[in-house]
Amino acid sequence: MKKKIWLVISIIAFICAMAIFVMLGIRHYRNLQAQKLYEEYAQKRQENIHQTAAPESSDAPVEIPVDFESLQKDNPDIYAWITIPGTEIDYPVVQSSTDNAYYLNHSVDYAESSAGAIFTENYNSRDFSDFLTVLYGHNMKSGAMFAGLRSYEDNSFFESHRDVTIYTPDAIRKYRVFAAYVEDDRHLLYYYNQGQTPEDRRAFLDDAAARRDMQSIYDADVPVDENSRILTLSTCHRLGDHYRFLVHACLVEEIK
Amino acid sequence: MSRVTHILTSLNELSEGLLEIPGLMYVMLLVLAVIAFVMYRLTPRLKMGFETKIRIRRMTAILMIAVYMLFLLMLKLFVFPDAANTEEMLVFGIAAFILYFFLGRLFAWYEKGQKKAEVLQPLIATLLFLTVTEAAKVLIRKSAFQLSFVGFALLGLLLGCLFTKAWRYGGKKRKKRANQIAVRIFLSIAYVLLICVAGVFGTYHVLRTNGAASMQKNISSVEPDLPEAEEEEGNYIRHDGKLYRYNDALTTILFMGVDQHSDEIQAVEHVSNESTQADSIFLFVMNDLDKTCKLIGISRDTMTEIKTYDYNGEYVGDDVNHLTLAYTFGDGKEKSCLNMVDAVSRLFHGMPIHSYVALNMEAIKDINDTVGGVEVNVLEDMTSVDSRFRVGNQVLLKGNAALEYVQWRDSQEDFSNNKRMERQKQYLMNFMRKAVSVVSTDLALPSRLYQSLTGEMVTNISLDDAVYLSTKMLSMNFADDSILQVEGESVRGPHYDEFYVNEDALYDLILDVFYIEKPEGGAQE
Repeated sequence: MKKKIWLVISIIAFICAMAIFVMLGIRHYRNLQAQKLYEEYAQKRQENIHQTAAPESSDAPVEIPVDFESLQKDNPDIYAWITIPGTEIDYPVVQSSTDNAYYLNHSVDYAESSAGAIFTENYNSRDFSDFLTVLYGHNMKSGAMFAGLRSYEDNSFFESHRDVTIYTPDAIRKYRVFAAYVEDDRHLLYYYNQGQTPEDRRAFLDDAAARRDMQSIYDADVPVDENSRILTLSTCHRLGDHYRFLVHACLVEEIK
Repeated sequence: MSRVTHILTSLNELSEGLLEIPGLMYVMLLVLAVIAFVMYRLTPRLKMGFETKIRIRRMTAILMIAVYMLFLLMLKLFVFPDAANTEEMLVFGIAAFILYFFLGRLFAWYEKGQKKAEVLQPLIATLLFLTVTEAAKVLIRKSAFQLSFVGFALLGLLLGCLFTKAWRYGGKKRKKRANQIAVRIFLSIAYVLLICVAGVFGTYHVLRTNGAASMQKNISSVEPDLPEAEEEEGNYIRHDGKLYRYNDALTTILFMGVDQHSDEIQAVEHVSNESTQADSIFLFVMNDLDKTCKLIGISRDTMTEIKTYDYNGEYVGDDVNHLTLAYTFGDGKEKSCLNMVDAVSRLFHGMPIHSYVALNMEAIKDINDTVGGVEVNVLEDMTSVDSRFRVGNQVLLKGNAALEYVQWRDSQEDFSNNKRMERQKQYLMNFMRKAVSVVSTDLALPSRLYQSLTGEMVTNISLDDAVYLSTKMLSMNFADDSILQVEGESVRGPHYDEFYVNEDALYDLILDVFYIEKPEGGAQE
């Protein structure tokens, strides 16, 4: 009798262990696929850069070094591209019209993936004309997605990597990084009422500037005010679910 | 350092060592001991053969002995450091004696059922045990074999075994009663004495850990925006490519020298109180990890965000103003101090502050004289105040002269506060040195001083805390580079001098004093 029970227990345990292995394996595979996909996209973009020439006259629209046409054929949710030179961040930006949380665990080819995609919620317009545009991305252990933002914790990296570029089908937008810090998990757009009134915008800017702990970096020399256009990059922080690491940048140049 | 300091330090080490034994171990040992005791008590009542009962009883006795020996092993590994000098050796020896005395008693208890009380067997067993534990300590903690400890322990064991024998002798029915009574009385006294010593140490340990605990609470309400993350992962910052971790073993105290400014009219808005100001502001940081102290001087004119109150004491918001006004915007007591604590903590990027002491500048006279005066080499020409205060003169400051040396400034001169701060720093350094040397020969001084100052200071440090702190101070190193200053720029403001902190220098200072550089590559401390 005793022996039988032990046999049953060991079989169950074995099955559980196998199941766990299989699930881990699937997740790992999916992540690799997502990684490959992004690398393909990045490579395509690199090829595009070589193909585009500098604008000849100020009248002609600027050549965008991203092939949005083919990207949008694969997934019409893709509407922008983000590049931060000096980091791994070189990804398409998506926005789901129906489900703001979709791209938390789906990559841009609609496949399930724990890496997700770099995305905005549909509170933000697709032409980056809002006061505050928030881009979300996972902090992957592999260094993928927005894990590269973590480098901004160090002041010397912060000072030498101030440029963020956003490409959309109609324009190239250049942003300058002016703050990097850890915040709680408040929903920025809700909390600051999407910056609809000057008071809301002032509150957002004041909160960013008021931080005085050892981990925060804020460059007061970058001119930001209620009329600026802010790009916030948000990712998870190692402290846990209730914290986010934020990097703020403000628009300095828009080339159409 | 004197003999008394050595003794205190060794007691401190024992006390702290006790804390290092994981709580789980204490619980385990306690549970086992209770089980053994219960078994011992229950066996007479159980319906079993006489032989079985005796066997069970002996087993429980063995269990008790095993538990106690495990406890001794823990102590050996975690608690007893190497004796650095004769006083420490003596203290540890006494501790060993007491501990092994009780082991001897346990052995005697074990042999209760037998007719012949052996001494040799327990002695040999303990000798083996001691050798093994010492060897374990040598291997694990890479320390030296302590012969003195073994000696004291064996003596304790011997006497423990003999104690029981002698006690029984005192109880036997014999003719020579006087002897027996004498023996019993003597033994009782000795036993009580032993328990008293253990009890005193126990009390000391409890008071000390309580004092330590109360000194470790951050009283500033400036929330560091991040929680104290337990995991190693969350609790570090990056700067210039290096990794830093906040040093938990710090005790930070804010010292304020307070004075009435009745002759100066406060032309500042929103002042809710009379004109008491905190003229001297110092952060005192005790580092228990490397046994050093740092004193950071902060200019009273530092322009920083402070909580501002109106005439009714209502909070009206945060505004940038002179740091000294954080004290003024209060009740002159606790509220002022806490306001100051918050302001300084905020200035220091949210560093925790555990205690505050606000002292009336007048009290400096008493403190100064209590240590027998403080000698200084005059830094600034103050002959208008005292003819001895010529630059370069070596003066022993006593009474009023001490107060004047640290309080006076040339109000006609721009930024005269900075020169005053130099003198205050110098005075403090020399005072600390004098105090440490005086206290080591007169241990009751800190508590006497505390009592005498009670009317003149506002603090959240109790007498117990003060005693605890002063015992800690004795083992601290106070070198020349221990006195630091928050650097910045002095500017002539609309009404008064203003001081603007150099933020980069302050950041580096905070990293230097409050943080430990963490070697990259996962090497833990």
